[in-house]
Amino acid sequence: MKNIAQWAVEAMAAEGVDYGDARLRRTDREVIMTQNDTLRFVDNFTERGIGVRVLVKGRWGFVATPFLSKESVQQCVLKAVGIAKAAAVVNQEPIKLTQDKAAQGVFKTKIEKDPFDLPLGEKAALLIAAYEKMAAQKAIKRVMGRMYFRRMHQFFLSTEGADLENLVYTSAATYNATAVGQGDFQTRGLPEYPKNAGFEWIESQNIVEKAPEVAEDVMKKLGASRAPSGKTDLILMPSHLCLTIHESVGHPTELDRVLGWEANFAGTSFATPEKRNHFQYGSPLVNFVADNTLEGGLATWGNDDDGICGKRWQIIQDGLLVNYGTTRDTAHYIGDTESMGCNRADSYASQPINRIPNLSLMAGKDPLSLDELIADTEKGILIDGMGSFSIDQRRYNFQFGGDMFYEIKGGKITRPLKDVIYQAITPEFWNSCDAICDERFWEPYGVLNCGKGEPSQTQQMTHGSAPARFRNIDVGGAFNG
Amino acid sequence: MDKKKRFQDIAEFIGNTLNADDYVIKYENENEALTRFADNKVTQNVDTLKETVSLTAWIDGKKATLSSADCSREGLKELTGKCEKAARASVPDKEYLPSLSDDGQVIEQMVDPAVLKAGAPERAAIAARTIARASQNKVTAFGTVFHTLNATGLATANGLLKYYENTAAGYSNTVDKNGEKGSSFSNGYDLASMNPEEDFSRALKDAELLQNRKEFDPGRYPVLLSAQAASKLMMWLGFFGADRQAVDEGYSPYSNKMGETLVDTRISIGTNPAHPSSPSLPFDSAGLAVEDRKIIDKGVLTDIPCSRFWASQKGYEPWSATNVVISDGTKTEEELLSSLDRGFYIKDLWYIRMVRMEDFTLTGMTRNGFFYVEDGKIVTGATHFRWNDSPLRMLNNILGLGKGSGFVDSWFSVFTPSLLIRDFYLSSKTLF
Repeated sequence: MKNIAQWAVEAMAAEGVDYGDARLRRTDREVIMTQNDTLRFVDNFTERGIGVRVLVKGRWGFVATPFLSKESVQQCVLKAVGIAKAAAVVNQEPIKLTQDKAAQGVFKTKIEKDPFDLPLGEKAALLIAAYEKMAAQKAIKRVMGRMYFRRMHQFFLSTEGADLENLVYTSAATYNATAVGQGDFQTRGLPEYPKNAGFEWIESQNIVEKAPEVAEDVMKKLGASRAPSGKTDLILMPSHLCLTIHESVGHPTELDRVLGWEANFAGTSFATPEKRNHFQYGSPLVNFVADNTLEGGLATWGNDDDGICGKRWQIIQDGLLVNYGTTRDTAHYIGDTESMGCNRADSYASQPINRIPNLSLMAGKDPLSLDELIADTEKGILIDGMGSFSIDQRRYNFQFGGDMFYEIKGGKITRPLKDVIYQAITPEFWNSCDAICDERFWEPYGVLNCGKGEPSQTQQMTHGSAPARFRNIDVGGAFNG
Repeated sequence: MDKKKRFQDIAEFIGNTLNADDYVIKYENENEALTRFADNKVTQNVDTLKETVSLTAWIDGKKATLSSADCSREGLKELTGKCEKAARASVPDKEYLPSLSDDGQVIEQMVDPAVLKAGAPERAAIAARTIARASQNKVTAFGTVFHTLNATGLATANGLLKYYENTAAGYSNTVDKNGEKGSSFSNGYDLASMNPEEDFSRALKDAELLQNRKEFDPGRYPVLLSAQAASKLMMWLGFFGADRQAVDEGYSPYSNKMGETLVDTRISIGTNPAHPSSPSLPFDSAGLAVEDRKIIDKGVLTDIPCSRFWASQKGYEPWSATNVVISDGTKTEEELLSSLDRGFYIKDLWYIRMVRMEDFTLTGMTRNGFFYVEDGKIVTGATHFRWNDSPLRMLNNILGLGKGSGFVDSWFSVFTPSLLIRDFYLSSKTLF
């Protein structure tokens, strides 16, 4: 396999490109979807191909093909060089790369059970068994189950001497129950907890045993009251905070957005370079660490698609914005001499772009349990799981829902709620954080479907946190009109 | 490469190799070329080819689907072997229906030869022209130029063989002047649908009009939604709840509403893959022909797409939708604007998501061109708002209906009119 990438690099050298890399990637992906006791959709997908990227006189050229003969690969390189040269008609500042040292090595996700070695029926049976645990509850009309497995095997070679191989596994399982009442329907899901791991991760989550609790929750929601609107305190669980972190900290600190490179589609960022080391993004309790070496992290690939090996660095320190997620073609714009390794492509056929790393809210330094946090809250709402999400194109105004909601009064959980939607401005929200539970309660949830780029790409990353409290947040405004 | 011939060969080879009771083969070939520019420079320049064959096989009532990008004889042999093994190890398919046979559907290929001829030099020339205009006007440009050729084939064990090819071409740009952004795009199946010169001028004009924007309070306002903005919002009508089983079982916004007048009687909503401004795939994943058909007819909820399985259980006719087409009016956006006494002109929307499925409440942001209007004229640019509203409520609040416009993506298309509506809920402010 590796020799195919070598053919590309040799052809690049022969063409005299300023820089070039070849990614030979095979991706196996299995998606299993059930509805109640029926296998509704299954796809075991294998994709294999090569993507070649060249930099010629400051212009990128990228070509990808699934045809892997030597002739086809060489033609790919010639086409990429031709595309880059065609862009010479554009009068522009040339694209530059940071001078990172070329790396060599092999990375493999530690797994015990390869999900692709297991029979389809065995995996689907778990989702159907979860449904059967809920089937007695007649108001539950639909249970949608989903399992997702990915195995990515890649060789990355560059004209600078990078020689990297990685084998990365991802496993995830979830289901959502929908209950129908009088003029209303509600859903509740098992929070999806994806990890770079093998099937042993799915087994450890006991998804069948958790089904009765999910069924109980959805019935509680069906009979619940709507949340009163106004300002209240929120306690956000890690399964929920994952998405809030992703949208309000992860994307604003991607350097390509900060530079405006996504202005035509995914948007820009308020966290502009002059704010680095000067902007109080959150309260002094708030520390965000990017870590592409995190074991099981969804962005833990060993290296990114610039060939930069995984790094760990602080992005927000004691509430202060101190750094970004960067790539080789963006880092120099903020005066950095090396990339933090955030360039990733979702396929052999995609040019890599600046992506969010594994980015987590660090646990509180003082001992604090979830029970103690609730007991310390006079009036508020606890939110678990992900729901509706939307944020403006500079990442200020956001609005989030959730999956399960409980009212807190006098330091106690009093009743379930439904249709809770909160809205805030990013820096005001993170500066309102006044308590974070300690590391015993820290959990690394993640997202599998982060969309960005033109052409559109989908990517995955982990966002860990412990339950945290935010003061005086607007709730219910979405329905007040 | 003659893709149709290649698909037919693949289907024949799999048919001869596979040992299964029934099967469906799907072939996809996507050639996408795109030049992306930002901050007045080309930042991406791609030309990619993806080819996939997907095989669903049923053996002893059990189903498996495997897909592969390796369409060589060896690759297909491996695919069929693995698919047989996976199907035997699967669970019974309780919704199995025999695969479809030939229905005689005549399929019009939506291919513009001019798109096929366009290459990297043509895309670079358009990007160069945009960047040159941006430099002349002391503004910054961001955007894309793309050409694609997609092929989709479907074959079944019972003799169905369908093939569809379509091109797409598009241009989009965002122009930034002093931090204020205007945006415009044009796309379609043919090269003539692209209009970079006009798009740049529109985006530049909006960026200039947005200088010194004013802040307004949240509330319910009359608004004019441009056809481009409306297309981003109304495409959601194609994603949620338009499923007969969900309607019948009570978890669709359309549940218990069949036969009711849901929206303004000037509005009809349906699908039509042959629509000239928003063509789409003329058959669904089972091979069922998609035809011109209404969901809402003159305001009344008359019909809902239905899977083959649910149709067989309940006695409905199965049918699918592959795009959203909304009936339009005759007025230009300028004419609609002139009839707006006081309100906002929304030219772009962003980050639209479902908030509450029961009543189809969506949320999102205004983006780029957003103006305050008095006495039919733009008075000033306005700071942006989050909005929360339902397209079904909006289509009941129509003050004026404009000419329609098509929006074609590689995976979906929509045709919508510009809409002058009352009481659109702009729920909260942002900081710009």
